[in-house]
Amino acid sequence: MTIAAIEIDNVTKTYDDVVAIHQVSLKVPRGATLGLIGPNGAGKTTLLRIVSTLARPDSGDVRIEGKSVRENPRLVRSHLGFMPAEFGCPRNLTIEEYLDYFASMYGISVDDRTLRIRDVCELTDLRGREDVYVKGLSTGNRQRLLLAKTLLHDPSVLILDEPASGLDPRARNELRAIIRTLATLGKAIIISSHILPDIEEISDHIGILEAGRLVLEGDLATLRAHSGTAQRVVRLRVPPEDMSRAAEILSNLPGVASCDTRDQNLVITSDEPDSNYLLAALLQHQIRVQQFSENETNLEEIFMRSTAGKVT
Amino acid sequence: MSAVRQFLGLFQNSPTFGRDRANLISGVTIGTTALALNGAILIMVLPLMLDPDDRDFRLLTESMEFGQLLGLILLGGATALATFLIPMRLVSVFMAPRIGRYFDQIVLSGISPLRFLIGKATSQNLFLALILFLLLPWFVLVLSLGGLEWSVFLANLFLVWLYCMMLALVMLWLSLYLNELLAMVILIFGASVLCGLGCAPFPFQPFVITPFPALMHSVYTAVNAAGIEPTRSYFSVFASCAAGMSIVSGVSLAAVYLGPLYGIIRDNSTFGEVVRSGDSKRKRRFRLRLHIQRPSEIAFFYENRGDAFRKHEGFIRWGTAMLCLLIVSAAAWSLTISIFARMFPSQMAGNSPWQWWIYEFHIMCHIFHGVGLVLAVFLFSHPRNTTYQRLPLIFGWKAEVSRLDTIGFMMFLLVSTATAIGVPIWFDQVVAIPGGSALFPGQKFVSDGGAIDYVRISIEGTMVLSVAGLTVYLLQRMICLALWLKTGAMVSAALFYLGVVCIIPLMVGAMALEIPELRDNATIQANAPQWAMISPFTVFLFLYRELGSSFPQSLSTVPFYLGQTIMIGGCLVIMRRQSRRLRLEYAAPLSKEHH
Repeated sequence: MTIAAIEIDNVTKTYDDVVAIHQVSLKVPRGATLGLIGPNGAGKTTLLRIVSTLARPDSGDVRIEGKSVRENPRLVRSHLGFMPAEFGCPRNLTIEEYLDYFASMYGISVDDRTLRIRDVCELTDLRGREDVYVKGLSTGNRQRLLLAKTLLHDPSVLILDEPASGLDPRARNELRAIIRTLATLGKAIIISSHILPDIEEISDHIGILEAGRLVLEGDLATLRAHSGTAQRVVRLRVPPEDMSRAAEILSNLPGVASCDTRDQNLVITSDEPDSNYLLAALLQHQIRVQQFSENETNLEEIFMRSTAGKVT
Repeated sequence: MSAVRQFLGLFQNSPTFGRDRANLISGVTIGTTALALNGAILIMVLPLMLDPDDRDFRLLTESMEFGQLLGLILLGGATALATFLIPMRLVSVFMAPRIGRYFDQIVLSGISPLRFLIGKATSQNLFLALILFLLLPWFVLVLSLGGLEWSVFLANLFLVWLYCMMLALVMLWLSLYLNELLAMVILIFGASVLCGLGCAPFPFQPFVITPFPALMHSVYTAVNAAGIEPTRSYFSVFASCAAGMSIVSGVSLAAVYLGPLYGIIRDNSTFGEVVRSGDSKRKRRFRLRLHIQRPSEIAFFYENRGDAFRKHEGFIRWGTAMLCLLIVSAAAWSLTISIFARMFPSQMAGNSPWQWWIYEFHIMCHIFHGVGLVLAVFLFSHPRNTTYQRLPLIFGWKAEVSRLDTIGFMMFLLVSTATAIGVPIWFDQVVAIPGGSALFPGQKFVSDGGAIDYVRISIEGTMVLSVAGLTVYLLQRMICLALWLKTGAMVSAALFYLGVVCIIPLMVGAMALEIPELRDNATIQANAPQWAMISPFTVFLFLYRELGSSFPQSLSTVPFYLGQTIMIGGCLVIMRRQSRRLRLEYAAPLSKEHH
């Protein structure tokens, strides 16, 4: 039986009377990326801090590579790379000194440090900038540096809290590429973000948290199915004289939930994963299709549908 | 070469080596240190320069080579500078990661607190190296002037290094318990006072935890015409200083390794207490709170330690405390016995009417017993935030802090009581009687018409101290249930016991017997001595026949025992009630922390 790299088992955390996290369970296998989304105050950071051994769950447990965060947090830490949302740094250090400082903390020997620092700088595109002072870095480069620090000890599990926060589109694109590379290297990744297109693009699984509860979890298709947004929306343009006939034909097809006329277009909502049969039916009745487009529900729509904006 | 590399590796493997090197080798640091260093040296030379005709100065320059004198001034300046700058540099040991918001990152690196803190201490070597580097031009001057005694200079330099290490370790120790700024102020003040005292020309210099006694030795030797020649050789002063500073460093290191009892502090507390809403407001008001109390800090000091510590924490903590107490106690007893034994038979034998040593011996026994109990009261008590927590004792067995405290104190009380009674008997049988004297000479010595019963002094005096120690301990434990700070509880318990139990009954008794208006009142006269006997002070004065003629020669010590029994009972009842309430709070859910 393969052990999930990250196994969150029925975790609950309460502050006063406020339930920050309520019975959340998730699994992330090696090489997979879990995107964690939710409104502000949903409990994402609390959950990430619990997974990272920085907070203790009131009940439940988290196992990283089979080791419990409750029973052996020190051992868990050796497998874990946590990139916090905020950048904290000792003052007056260059990138290399900053990385050397943390490399020595991780117990990496003096001889190995140079090589390791070079590797992570390479991976995060910081090569050639090692002598730049940390305090003068742009937001994008700071995030890169934070990620480089997180990777120093080659952890098998990565916890990234808002890694793309404050980044411009190009930097976001580069960060996505780095995260995809890390996943292909076999690392299990949990990433929390408010930038839903990024999560949609890089995550294999997505968890939606609201008010400390996991309201939805699964891959995008599962989320669509569970959120009631799995239908495809197809837009068709046919000659105006064929409009009513086409609407009648399409309405009678199996899988078509609705067929409306909007702006001289036919808007069809279909439960079927393949839309070709709609075109085939129209062509069979010799109705010319002038324009065709189809859309899937995106993560933002799923998020809006499945959350009500409740916070803890 | 490999040995040199290994030695350098010690520092290079320090987690903060790179960072410290980066911080040290900067224009600002070098410039500021150079200015401060030269300032410190000039300040030391200034009094001499202002009054060059001063008799002592002239005597000094006539007796010492100027190169040697300047060498001493340089090392003195370096010591003075280190006294200020090392605590100041270490003030950021926890503050910087907290303000910089990277403490979590340190915790997640898995580094053990000991390695982290030792790294901070060893990094002070770099600072000392910088100081010595900045002194190079002065050293060249010293060499040019000539007269430097190399062996003494190098020995003094070693002491300065040891002093820097000691300062760093003590600062780290204090930083675990106090706000770093407060720790810095206390350390700088304390070290400055000790440095000052270390310069004083005592025939026997007890303040050997700074390099100054060794630095000043050459000066006092040189000006021996002034009549302040030290009675000890340089080597013995050097050895005393090295031993003194090594002991303090060792104790600090052990304290850093043990750390405070943080694992039992709740996640989000203000003082480490059980958390309630509104704590954050109090946090703003009280800046002198224990500062290591946040989850990441607690995690750092507990979870990142070795398995042995985490599994056998109770045994290691209480065992170390007991061991230290027993070692100190045994050392004190051994020293006393050896001092008194060395005096035999020349000074003690015989049957002179006033055998002062008997009196002194019994007093010493009581002092050691009493001081040992005071230390035990402090070591084996914990404030309300920790007292009912359970922690791993040994091999996974868990025990409550309060139980470990009680067992620890009671064990020491028994050992100390047995020693305080047993040592005089042993000394009497093995040393005094064979030497032609006796430690229990019956009722030989008579003062003010009363006879001293040394057997009673030895046994009952010890028992009085033991009972009083138990009462103070319970008072301390009771007050600890209401306070967050053990030192606060200790001061309160001591003041209460001293004032209410020791002084007031004695004062009342003495006043009743001395004030003329009360002398005619037969009831007062009859009862006043009994009231006074509630105080352990009165009991001791009575046992040693020092009460004076106003007091009757025959008194019962029952009021003392009665008073103590009532207090012990009262403390136990209050503790029981308090503990019920406190245990409920321990089980209460935590509040959210607002930073």
